[in-house]
Amino acid sequence: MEENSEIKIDAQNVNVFYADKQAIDNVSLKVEKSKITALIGPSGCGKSTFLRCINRMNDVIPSCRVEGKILVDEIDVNNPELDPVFLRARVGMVFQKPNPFPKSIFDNIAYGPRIHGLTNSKSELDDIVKESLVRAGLWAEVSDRLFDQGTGLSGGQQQRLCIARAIAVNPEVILMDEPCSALDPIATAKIEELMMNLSQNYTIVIVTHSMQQAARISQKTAFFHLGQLIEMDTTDKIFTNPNNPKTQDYITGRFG
Amino acid sequence: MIKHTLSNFEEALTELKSSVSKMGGLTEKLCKDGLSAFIASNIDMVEVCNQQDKVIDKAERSINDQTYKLLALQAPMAIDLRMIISSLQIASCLERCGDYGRNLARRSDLRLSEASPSLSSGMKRLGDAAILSLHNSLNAHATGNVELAKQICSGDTEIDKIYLSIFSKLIKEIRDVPEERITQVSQMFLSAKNIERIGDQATNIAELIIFAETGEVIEDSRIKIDESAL
Repeated sequence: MEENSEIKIDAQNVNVFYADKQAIDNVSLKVEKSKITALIGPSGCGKSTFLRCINRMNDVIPSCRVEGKILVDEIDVNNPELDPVFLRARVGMVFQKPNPFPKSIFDNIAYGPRIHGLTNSKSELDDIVKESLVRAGLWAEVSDRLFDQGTGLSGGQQQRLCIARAIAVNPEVILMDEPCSALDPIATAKIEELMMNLSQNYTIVIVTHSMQQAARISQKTAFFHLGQLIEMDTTDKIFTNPNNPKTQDYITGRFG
Repeated sequence: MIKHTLSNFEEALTELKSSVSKMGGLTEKLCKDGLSAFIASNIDMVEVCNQQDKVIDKAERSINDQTYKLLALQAPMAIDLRMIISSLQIASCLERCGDYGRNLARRSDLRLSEASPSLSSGMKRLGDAAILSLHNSLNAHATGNVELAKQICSGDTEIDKIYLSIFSKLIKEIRDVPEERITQVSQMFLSAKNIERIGDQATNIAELIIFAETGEVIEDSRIKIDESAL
């Protein structure tokens, strides 16, 4: 851990079960503020499950049980009194497949601020929509067609629209679950550049199957295998000289 | 080590390592031949050594090609990345050793065999030590033997000591030599330096093997005792 690094997310002894099957086995890790942390590992290793614990997306799966503690700042996300809608405004999420609402570009962004009552006037809402689109690097491409359908945009634009939608409610953390896996290399590069810019103001945790992507954009990388956290270190260290032989076997393509 | 899931990547890595080993074998032979020609004043070997050096240069270019392709096409990580980077650098060290071997052959006209017996035996001792170090470094490369590589790093000071004793002898000699022999003695300095550099390159190779195998970067493994080094 770097000196003076501030911890944004502190997961302690997290266990997750889907009915009887244990998906996460006693994982503890810390995510630093204003950094990009990548979670890597083979399919089924628990990385997405872990990501979804951070903003309680697993609540919607009836058989899912989460144990342990996850603190975002000092807030215990599993506190039953905590409103998950409030939590998800602070901890936004972007998914593998772009999922804009079947509404206009404007309404996609305005949706969150409206339901959270973040604005008092139409002009304030206009400002938030514009600011979010600018931050998501989409403003120049859509400013003259804000009332067109969001679903009419290209895949890469739709994903940036989803990022704009996530940041419109002023989150502190953005969770990304394979956000580029459905995109071409140029659209991927734009999202990656955007993530690096966003990480100055937001803490980003990304699940990715692309080792190159984790290597390019993250400062910390955590390797999961069979529900366990095998190793977490600086991304440089993980990809040049990891400590654990399992990590090395996985990232060099020798696994299994 | 477990094999790669991608067999073409596994094969390319094996081929790269084998290319470096082959280049190492050629280089060791050239260094030996060059040293023998220099010590025995055998000018007949000059052309043979020139040709050997050309083959080594070609081998280096081929290794460069292999590494560029692997880096571009396979995006290697961790131990694979270190192995590929160190292969590129080892090939460069070997190419330099080849040049030193060729230079020694070219200096066979200096008639070292007619010079003082102590100078001649000193050069032979220096040459044998440097070539042994090169030989050991190539063995360490082929077997991934980190312990042997570490021994090579610590053994380089012995080569430096022999070199320094030759250097002192030549300094004494050059004070008294007639003007027409100054060029010849100067060439002896360069020859001794060339041989000593083979030892240095062997140490560089050993350090690269340690890096490839462990990720550890060896710093200052050599104690600098050669104050004359330019």
